[in-house]
Amino acid sequence: MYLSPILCMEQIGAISVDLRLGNMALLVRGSGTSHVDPRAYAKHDAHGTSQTQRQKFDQHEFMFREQFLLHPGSLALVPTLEWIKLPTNVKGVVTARSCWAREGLNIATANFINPGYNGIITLELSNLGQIPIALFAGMRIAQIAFHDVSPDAADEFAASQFQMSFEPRAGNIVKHDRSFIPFDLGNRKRTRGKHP
Amino acid sequence: MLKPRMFLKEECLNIKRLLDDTLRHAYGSAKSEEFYKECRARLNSLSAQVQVVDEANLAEIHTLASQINLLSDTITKIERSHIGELSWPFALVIKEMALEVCRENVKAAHELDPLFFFSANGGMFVYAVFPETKALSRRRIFNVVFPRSFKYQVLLHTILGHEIGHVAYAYHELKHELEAKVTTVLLHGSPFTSPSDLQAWLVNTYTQTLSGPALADAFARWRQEYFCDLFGLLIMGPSFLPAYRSLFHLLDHRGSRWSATHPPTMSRYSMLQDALTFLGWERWEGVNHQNLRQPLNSMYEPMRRHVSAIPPEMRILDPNQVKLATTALQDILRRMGKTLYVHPNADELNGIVTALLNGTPAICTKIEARKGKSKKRHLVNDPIDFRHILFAGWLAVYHDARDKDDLSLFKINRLCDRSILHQDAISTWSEHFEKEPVSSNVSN
Repeated sequence: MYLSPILCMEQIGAISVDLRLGNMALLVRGSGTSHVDPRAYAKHDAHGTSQTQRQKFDQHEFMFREQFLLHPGSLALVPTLEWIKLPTNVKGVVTARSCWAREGLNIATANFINPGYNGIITLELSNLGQIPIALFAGMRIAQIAFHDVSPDAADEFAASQFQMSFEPRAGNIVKHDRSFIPFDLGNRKRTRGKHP
Repeated sequence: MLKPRMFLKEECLNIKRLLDDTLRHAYGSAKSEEFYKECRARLNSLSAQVQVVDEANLAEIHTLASQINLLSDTITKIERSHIGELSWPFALVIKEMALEVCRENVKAAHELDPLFFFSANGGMFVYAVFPETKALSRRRIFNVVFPRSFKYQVLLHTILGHEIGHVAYAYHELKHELEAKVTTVLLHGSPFTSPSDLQAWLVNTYTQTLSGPALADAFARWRQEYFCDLFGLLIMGPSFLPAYRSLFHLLDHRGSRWSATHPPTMSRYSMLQDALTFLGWERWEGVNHQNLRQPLNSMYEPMRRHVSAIPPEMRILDPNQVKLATTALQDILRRMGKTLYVHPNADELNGIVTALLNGTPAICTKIEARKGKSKKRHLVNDPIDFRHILFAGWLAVYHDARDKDDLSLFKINRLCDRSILHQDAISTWSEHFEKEPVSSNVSN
């Protein structure tokens, strides 16, 4: 297993290792898109799909000892400072640190890291409190615990779409679910009740 | 028509508004206050001069107009400097290195250090460091330019070593020393000893004849270019060469193209090869690692082959002079902090190459047991010079074991970029650790 850099022994707990905030944040842009639309992820024209995804977020990079503010109700995708490479028989589980949770900082749900994963971990931060939270790259904001799994797990199942991520990015929310999405409402009306 | 003095008065007020507007942005290198103060001081000085300048003194008004124009240009470029457009971990290390070269006075307070801002422009060949040759105020402001499309191509960024050479030449006192101890020695016995020798060589080689000022200009520029190549090699180390060749090969694949601003690339390759041979980096003793031998050979061999085919008329510099100049420049660089590149040991280099080939960054925290009775463990984060990371990055690129589908050139660049960022995190942590108050309320 590779998890680096670890800057102090206090980062290593009895059953978990603390993770630090990296130097980038994707913040949802209020004026970017009107709503999250799964159909936007499956447009066949590359410009449209890419534009929709890119315009949804403002990308901020900040050096160490520079702050970024997470406002109440806002969502930010941030990378961990640490790079992690898991063996194929170990999965990771990421959770918030309770001291931050008490300040209103929530780390959302996608907290399983696949066996064999290699890259930074993307954290979905949201501020559930009433006042903005100042964050600095390098602060310990999350923690990861490790669990043994079947050695074949990584081979047997599909690799994560985020394998070897260097920075946070939007995922594909319709991957393998396209059957349920009416990408073209006009055709949907015409084909209702029929096999496509 | 606006009268010139009134126009300039108005423009000073415009620039004041422009400068205040820049406060809306966070400048690239986290020193917005310093930039603001410096530009404000320059503006105040120019405004005061505009107030008292004689309306009839058009020559002075013209000079003031040029300076105000330059200030406006500088502020606008600073305003457009965004760290999101370039590899800022690399920008920080290059800034530290350039600062060592161009501190106004080693004994002076750091408040007089030049200021650097970074910008990204379109095009592959826009790498540059624009130095201010003469400070308009207390501090010089330098603009370091990266190609925008190369945001993460840190392996190519080593070419900036050459550009820092130009920065060194922009400092009058340092230039004098470099000219006397390095450039003159380097070019001794070559056609670049005098403008008339250069003219004779140009006629023989290119059937080119340059007029007086153009010849003097080419003479000065070409001499400086050779110096900057040697400078780049000595401060960046081996990773300077593949970056240099990658870019120059696109510009001039034969290496003999005529240019009034730069000497023929072939002759520069030849000089760098002579320096490399003298430095012994090619035949590196102590490399027992099979992991290193093959990529080292793959990196150096094409250059060796290329240089061996260079015709005699393009082997302009005497290898013995190259050796003497290299030694002299090493001596000068030794007094500039850690500017001079020092080879890593083979084990360290092998460790970095292996980490990159495994698809992980170079920094690898180790947990070791303390010596003595205490059973407590402690962390070891061995500092890694960013130039060793880049050297290892190139070796990973040339390594036969690299899976080119899984580990593309882009990914190696990004792993190197990430490694430099990790080193910055470790340095920031170590630098400020002692200053942190002890926490009395620790929770999970």
